[in-house]
Amino acid sequence: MRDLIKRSKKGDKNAFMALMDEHRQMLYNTALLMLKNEDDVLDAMQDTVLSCWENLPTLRENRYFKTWLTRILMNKCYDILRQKQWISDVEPPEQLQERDLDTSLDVKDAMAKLSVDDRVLLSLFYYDGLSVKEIAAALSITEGAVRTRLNRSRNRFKRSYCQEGERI
Amino acid sequence: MKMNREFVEMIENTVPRQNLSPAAVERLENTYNMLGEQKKPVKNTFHRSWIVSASAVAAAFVLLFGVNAAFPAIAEELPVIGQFFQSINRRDVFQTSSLHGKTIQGTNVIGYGTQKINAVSQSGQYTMAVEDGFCDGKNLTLSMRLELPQEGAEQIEYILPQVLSLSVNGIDVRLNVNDILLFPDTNKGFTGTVTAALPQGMEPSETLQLSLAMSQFGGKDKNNRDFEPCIPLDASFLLEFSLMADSSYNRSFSCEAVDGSVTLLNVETSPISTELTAVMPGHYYIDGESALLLEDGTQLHFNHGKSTDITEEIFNSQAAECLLAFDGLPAGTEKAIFRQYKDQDHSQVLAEFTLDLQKGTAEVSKTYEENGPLNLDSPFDYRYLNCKGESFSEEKAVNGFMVTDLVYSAKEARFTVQVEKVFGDYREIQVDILNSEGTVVASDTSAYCTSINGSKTYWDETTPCWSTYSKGSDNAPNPYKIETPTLNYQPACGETLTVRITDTQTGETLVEQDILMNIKGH
Repeated sequence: MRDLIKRSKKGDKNAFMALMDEHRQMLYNTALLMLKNEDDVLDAMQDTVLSCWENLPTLRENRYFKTWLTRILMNKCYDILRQKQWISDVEPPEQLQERDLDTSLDVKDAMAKLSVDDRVLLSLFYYDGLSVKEIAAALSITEGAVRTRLNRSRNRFKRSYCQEGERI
Repeated sequence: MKMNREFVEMIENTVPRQNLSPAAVERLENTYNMLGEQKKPVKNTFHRSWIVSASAVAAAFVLLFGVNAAFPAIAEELPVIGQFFQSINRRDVFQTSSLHGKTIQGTNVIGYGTQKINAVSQSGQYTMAVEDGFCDGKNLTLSMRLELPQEGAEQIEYILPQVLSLSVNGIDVRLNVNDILLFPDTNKGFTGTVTAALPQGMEPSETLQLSLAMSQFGGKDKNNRDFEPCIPLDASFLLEFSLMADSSYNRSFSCEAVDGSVTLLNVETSPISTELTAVMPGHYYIDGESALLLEDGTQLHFNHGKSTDITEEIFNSQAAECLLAFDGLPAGTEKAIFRQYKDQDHSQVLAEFTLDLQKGTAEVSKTYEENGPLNLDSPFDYRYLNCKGESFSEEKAVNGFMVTDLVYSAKEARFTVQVEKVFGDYREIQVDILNSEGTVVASDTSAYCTSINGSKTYWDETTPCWSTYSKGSDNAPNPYKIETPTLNYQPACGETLTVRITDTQTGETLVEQDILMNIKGH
């Protein structure tokens, strides 16, 4: 991956596309967790990819790439969420979460009940393999806060999961 | 947490990753076709823009800092720069740094009497000073101040050295890059602290020779939300100084107090750190919250980095021995309460011990059932305290202004006020927050900063997402967001605060609005 980053920084578009393909699952799923709406997800991904390409030469430490990319995506998603929140007077967040996605498993609702931040934390940690340190940097919070929130998310998820299980 | 395979499997089975939809793949392909020009790597333009006569300024600074070190009273009386020395000599950097939520250890050392250091290093236009320090024989903490040329400093949110090393008596001390973060203070300088554990085996009574090297500084641009500090500051400093260890405040005692499944074995306190050793089921430690409280309900910071790490072994153990590290206790603390909560919502206390630091004892207690600030339903037991919030309406607005939201963060000891006004030109306002006795508990002035994020923002038609926010309306209200710290006041849940908005130009009070703070957040 380091080689792809180096080449991308020098303007190699093919290397950059390969680099993005390596991370597209993370980008897509993280944005999906945050935004729920496919159109918004695609907008966030597009903006992230373009911003990443444009600003990559300014990234001085290649080892921060994953954190940096995640941070860009988070910012794009937060921008979209923030715009939605301003409209939330007429459209509550719960309604926004009535998603276009096909979610066949009821238990997914357990995940949907977690806050956006908690869902993203769990996803980055368990799926994308970001370390506590990397997540802390991506979200601009302390490592302690990441660990605390991971614990809390885990507990909430367990509780939600159990409640769903009981209902089923 | 990663070790909890059951949980990971549960997530994987129930929330599988989604493959990219055809629409997503198509959009990605289209995006690749849109790739245009890349930005050029950032050079040290910030540094170059500061054209000041270096050597003369450097010499003057060194001389003046020398005067301040020897005769602080005289330095404080000097015209113009005297105010700067006053701020250096009298400010509690240790405590104020913690307001940024970054400095977590040593916030209470000031009460024990810190040692003046005033070591100064000059690098180009930059001056770094290590001002005060304290060493309890096991840990040390230092406060420092970086002085920048005025131009450009206001655009920086914080500064960190990307290369740093600290050695004590020639032995390297482990530091992470994020251990030093310097935030702007009232004098346009940047201050911060660093806390580190001393190398093992060091005699607590000796005089320590310290060498602190820092270079490759980066400034985080307030207007750029990228991860990396993007404003390079071409400076490198080497500061060498001595610090006398003072272990006279350290206390240590063993105990075997048992409450349910939790046994408290050992207590060690110092001005910089409080360390408890307890045995408990691993899931208590991992799923719950360990808390150290003062008698007034103040919760000390828990140091995750120093405390027992979360491992599979700990999680599965029914009797895990855990080191629980907290910030140091304030000087004069006679009693402290250690609690193990079942969860981070503080729904239940699994065990509690009251530590008598004078007698050196720990006893099982139930202060969470007693009336007072330690009660589990205490109005002060929260991380965030919120009001219900209200949507802006011109009818309710007074003089065109209305307070629409107020949040208090206990950890950061900071209010966030949202004020909205009828659409129109920016007006600078002062926000005062008053308690029921009419005492001002926080006060700050707005700033014309139209970016989306920041500690003080004001949105108008130049704000990037304005059209979405205003929903196409020509007269959507302009929102101000103002974050303002308070050092000595924590509002109670259920308390009504008054927010007073004043026009800074005319001194006219625009609105005084009562806000009920009654929603707790953990």
